[in-house]
Amino acid sequence: MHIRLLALLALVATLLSGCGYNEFQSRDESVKAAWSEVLNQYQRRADLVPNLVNTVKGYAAHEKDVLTQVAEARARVGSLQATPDLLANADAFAKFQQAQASLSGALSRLLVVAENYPQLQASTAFRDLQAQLEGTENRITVARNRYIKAVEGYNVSLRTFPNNLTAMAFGYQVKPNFAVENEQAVSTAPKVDFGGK
Amino acid sequence: MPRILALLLLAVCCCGAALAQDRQPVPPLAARVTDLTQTLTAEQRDGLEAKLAEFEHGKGAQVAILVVPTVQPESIEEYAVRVMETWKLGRKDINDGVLLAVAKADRKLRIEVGYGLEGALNDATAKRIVSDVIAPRFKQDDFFGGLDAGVDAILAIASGEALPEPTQNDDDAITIMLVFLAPALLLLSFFAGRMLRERLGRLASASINAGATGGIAWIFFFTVGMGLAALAIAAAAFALTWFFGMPSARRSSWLPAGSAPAFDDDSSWSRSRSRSSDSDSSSSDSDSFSGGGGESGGGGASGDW
Repeated sequence: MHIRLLALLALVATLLSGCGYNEFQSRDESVKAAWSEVLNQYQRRADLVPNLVNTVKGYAAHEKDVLTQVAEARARVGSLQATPDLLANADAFAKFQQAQASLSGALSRLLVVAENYPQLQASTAFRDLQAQLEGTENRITVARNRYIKAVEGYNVSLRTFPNNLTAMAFGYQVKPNFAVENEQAVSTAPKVDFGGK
Repeated sequence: MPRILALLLLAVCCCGAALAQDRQPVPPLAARVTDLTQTLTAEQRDGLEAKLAEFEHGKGAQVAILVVPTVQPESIEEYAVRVMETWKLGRKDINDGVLLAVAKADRKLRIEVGYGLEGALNDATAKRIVSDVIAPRFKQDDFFGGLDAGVDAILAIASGEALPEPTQNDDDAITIMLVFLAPALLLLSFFAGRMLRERLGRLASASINAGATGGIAWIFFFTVGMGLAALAIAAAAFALTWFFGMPSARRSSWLPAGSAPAFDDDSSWSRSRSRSSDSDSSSSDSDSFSGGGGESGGGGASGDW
């Protein structure tokens, strides 16, 4: 009796791995890891903002509009609970993206304004912060690209046969990816020329 | 900053069609300095390579230079990340790799820093090296001077990062074992085999001797990750007892000369082994250079001149 039960279990295990169940698990984990890295880098950027605002304030205090915009965008980003569960909720995901995009836009406007202040440009503190911000923006790009690739792998395996049957049986859904629409806010940043695209 | 945002947008736009685009290929990693523009003379390249190799032996971190004509249509940041993903500079799980990438016609350069070095060689420091050390020299068309000074600065700062010791003493341990331990072990096993042979049969004594010798060899060799060498020693012990076990052993004349180590020719055997291990280590040191499995995530800084 025991042997039959064991054989049955072994059969089920083989079938599950044959139908991509194990693949889903490992891909799901890599999507989660990639997403955590995205959140991590966004957080890093948000942590830089207060310092940056204070430094700019020291040299260009009357640029209230831009400084307020950055502070508000930073506050919006901070108010969103950026948990890994965000992935399961398409609305929250879109909202999160929007908030991050508006912070990107506000920061780029701040840096453009900062170009009018030679003393600010010359200050070591500002140069270091700017380098950190640039590095972090690049890290965000890399993290997003890796997330996009991880999601692509997950979604492709979810849609292809026979894995789609397994996905149906277990109720797995296609994971949200970064959409271009979310980036439209960014494209309104000044001095960005897409050559009529 | 707007440039970066544009790249961000471009990267997202291109992601679907990324594979269809004609991106610049990543050259294979064969040396620490890869110059596709013939900017550096052979001596200059050798000088830089020697400096980087010495640093890796002392500190463990891998620093490589890549000079390409252009990275279009990508940005230097995207290209550098792709190169790092392919080359895997730095040791695995320590991620102590640095790539200094130069796109000559684009007049862009980037220091891409592995995760493990982001502490010392942080973005602000990398930016200073790019814009204060390298870019001014590049502006005067002094490419070697810029790279040399940049490498000096990178190495000086990277040596401030606390990293695990490089494991090159493993190589020394392997050499010691092969040159001294293995012959000594076989000599012992030869006499042990004779003693066993006086009491037991040919097969039994050879098997027991091989098992015991192999077991002892395993204990030593396993620590340096060469368990298989223990197997070879066990086989040698078996052969020694089998063929030369009897005190008045008939030397088996059918044995081709040199196929099995004769015990009284011990010195020549150890010499040949040491020679082969020497050539192995030197080929892995200088002829080919390969990444250790490190990763980076877009840290570092870019600039232009």
